[in-house]
Formats: sequence, structure tokens, C-alpha cells
Amino acid sequence: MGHLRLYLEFTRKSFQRAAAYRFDAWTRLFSNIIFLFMWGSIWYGLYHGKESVQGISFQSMLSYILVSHLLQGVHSAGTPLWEIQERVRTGDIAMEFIRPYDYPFRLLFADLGSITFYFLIAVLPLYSVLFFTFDLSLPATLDRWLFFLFAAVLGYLIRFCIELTFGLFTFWLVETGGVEDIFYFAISLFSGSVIPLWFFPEWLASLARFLPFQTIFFVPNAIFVGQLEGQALIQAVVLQGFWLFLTYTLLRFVWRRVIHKLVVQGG
Amino acid sequence: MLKSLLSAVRIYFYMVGASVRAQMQYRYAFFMNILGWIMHYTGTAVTLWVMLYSFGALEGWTFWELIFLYALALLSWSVCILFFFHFRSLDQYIVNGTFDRFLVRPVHPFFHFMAMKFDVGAFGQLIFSVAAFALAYTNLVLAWPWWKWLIFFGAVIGGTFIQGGILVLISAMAFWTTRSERFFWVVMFPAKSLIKLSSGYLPQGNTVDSHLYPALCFC
Repeated sequence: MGHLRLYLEFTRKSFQRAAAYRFDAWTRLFSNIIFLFMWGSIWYGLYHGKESVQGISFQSMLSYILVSHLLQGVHSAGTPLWEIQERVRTGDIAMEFIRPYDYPFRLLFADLGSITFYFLIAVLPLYSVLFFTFDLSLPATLDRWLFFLFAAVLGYLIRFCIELTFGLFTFWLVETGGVEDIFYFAISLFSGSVIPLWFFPEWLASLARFLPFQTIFFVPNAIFVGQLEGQALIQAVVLQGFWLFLTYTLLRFVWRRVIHKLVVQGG
Repeated sequence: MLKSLLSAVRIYFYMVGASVRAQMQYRYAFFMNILGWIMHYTGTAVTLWVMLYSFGALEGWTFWELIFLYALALLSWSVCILFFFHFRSLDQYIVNGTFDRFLVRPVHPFFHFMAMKFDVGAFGQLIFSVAAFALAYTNLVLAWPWWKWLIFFGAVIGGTFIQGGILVLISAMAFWTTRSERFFWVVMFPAKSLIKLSSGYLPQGNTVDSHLYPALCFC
């Protein structure tokens, strides 16, 4: 990584691009609010007339949903999966091979730029106001904040590796309709983005614990609302590190195969 | 009047037939598209099931009742997108100037654009919603008399037209703004999900038969 300056240049450029197309940020924010509102009302309905379910109060469930949508908002500012797939299908990705940088890293750093912009201008103000208005519990200690941030970053990287790897499968599958929807479903359910794992049926929860997806949203969310503490917290973060290593290795493996797989038609 | 209507129907089927043949050329993509839609909605249904596992009911609505409402909302939407979904890309035609060719043909531009495509991939939604509806109908042990079926089909047809109208309305904004597809995805799609899932908050009745009323409201 001696080329950090080079990659940070991509971050700067993509920050500027995001700032130029501000309308994108507003529309994304709008849909984020709608989904937040939707899930908020659903959980409100589920909790109707109940103080706490399985030891979880509505207050902490609301924090869970809010922080989950905060993270999802951050994730949504990165390069979407379909864009990677489109680059594979149109062959634009070939241009990335001949340039003197590493494509996965370039993508990661470019996403960092658009995410920073979106976070500063939309996510941070909105969620500060929301947490303040609903008077929700925030992590009490600095340790918890740091663990949350660390887990959230690891979660982001894991999602990035998984999604890019899946995007690269387009080289073999070309049309990914059905597979893609299973993939999205797996991420949205097993990551705990909408339903925390502790509300799963026992067998499904144990299945989820063996999958990498829970480390994307569930772990940081649970740390944030204080459901993961002490030993369990350390274990969860170590598990995140393990999955990051594994998914990154897989990404590298697939990336190497892709370079050999490249087919240029009519070239 | 009748004659021109009949000829319009004939032209519609002729053009749509061509569109279907074109889409069927890529059999693998066609199959994947249908499978994708089915998987997408099955995923939502499974999520709903998991959510209700610990809670039992959402404001008094049980799983199958919610599936019933969901399927009903989806049914009219799936019929709607069979006919109207390609309107979302109207902005591309306007921006690229290719919309002009619809203006010079001897048929109404709206009709021509509508008949241009018949989204066969959307059958995936139709298959899901019919299957989910049938499952919910059986699980709730419903036995509708004929007039309820009449209202039901009326609701589906009405819902198709209302949603089709909104879809075309949003697309037509492109004549002024030149961009409308994004607006469609960020406004109509989340709004639709919102309506679908918040339907649980509409008037409650103890008998499932009264579900037809909320269903009518948002269809």
C-alpha cells in the first residue's frame, strides 16, 4: 500500500463528484427515511401493548432500528452492485485491468469519498436529530463508542468484499436475476438489518450465526444498543475479523480468476 | 367506435406478440427474471414470518392474514406492471429523441408506447401473488360467495388502473424534467412498500371477510 496517496486521490475525486450531484444524496436520504418510517411503524405495531419482548424493550428496539438504518444509509452511498455488474456486462471493466492500480482498492477508496460526503451532509444531521428527539439511549462509555465504530467499519468491509465478489460472478453467470435476489434476501435477513437475530427461531438463529452476514449489521447494532457486552463483544469482533479475512481471501481468489476469464468480444 | 376499438385490440395483440417473441429469444435471462421476482417476494414473506415468530401478531393481524393482504396488493401491481412497467424508461426515449418515432406513426403515441412492450418477466410477481393468495385463502379457511369474488376482481382491475395511472403520471414528468426514472424508484417504490406494509393499520375486523375493505382502499 505504498500508493496510498494515489488511492486517496480517488477518494477526493469521488467526494467532489458526490458534492456535484447533490440531488442523488437527497433522493437517497428520502428513501432511507421512508424505509426507516416503515420499519419503525412495523416494530411499533409489533410491540403494541407489550412492555418488552424477550427482555428487549421497545426503546432499545427503536435504537436498533435507527442505528441499523443509519448504517444501511452509509452502505447505500457506495457503488451499487448493479453498477459493477453493468461494467462487467458492457465490458467497461476491461479498462480497469489496464490501468496501474488495483481495482478492488480503487473502488473501496472511491466509495469512501461518496460515503464521507453523504454521511456529513445527510446521515449525521438526520440521525443526530432523530436520536435527540426520541431521547434514545446512546452508548454510555467511550469504549462502547469505539467498539461500535470499529465493528461498523469491519462490517462495511465485509459487506464490500462479499458484494464485490458476487458482482464478479457476473463474469460467469452474465444474467444473475434469480441468484441475485436470493443473495439480497440472505443479506437483508441474516445480517439482522431489519430483524435482530435474537427474535429468530432457534434453528434459524444458529444458522445465521454460522453465516458471515450477521457480522455486517447485527454485530455493530447489538454493540450500539448494549446487547453485546464483555466476553461476547470481544468474541463477536474477533469473529468479524475472521470473516473479513475469509471474504477478502475469497475476493482476491475470484479476482485472480476473473483476470484469466476476461473475454473481449469484437476486440 | 366499436370497429376502431376492435382494430386497436388487434393491433395491440399483434405488437405485444412481437414483443413477447423478442423477449423469449433470451430464454435463460427470461427464466432468471421470473425466478428473480418470485425469490424477491418469497424473501419478503419469509422475513414477515420470522418477524411474527416471536410476536405472534402485528396489531392483531396474524401471518396468513398479512400474507392475504400482501398478495392482494401485489396482485393488482403485478397486473399493472405487465402492461405499464416499461413506461418508467420513457425518459430515456425523450432524452435520446427516440420518442419522436412514436409521434409520426398512424396510431396514438400513448397507445403505441403502451403496446411496445409486455413485460413477461413480471409474470414472476403474478405467479407469486396468485400462489400466495391461494395459500392464504386456504389457510384462513375462507369460502367466498360469488359476489365477493366479483368485488375482488373489481378491486384488482381498479388497482391496476390506479397504479398504472400513477406510473404513467410520474413517467410523463420527463417531458418537463427529462429525468423521471430515478424519481420513480425513490418515490413510488418505497411509497408502495409503505402502503403495502402499513395496510395492517387499516380498520380492524374480527372476521377475515372484512379484510376486503382495507384491501379495496389500497389496491
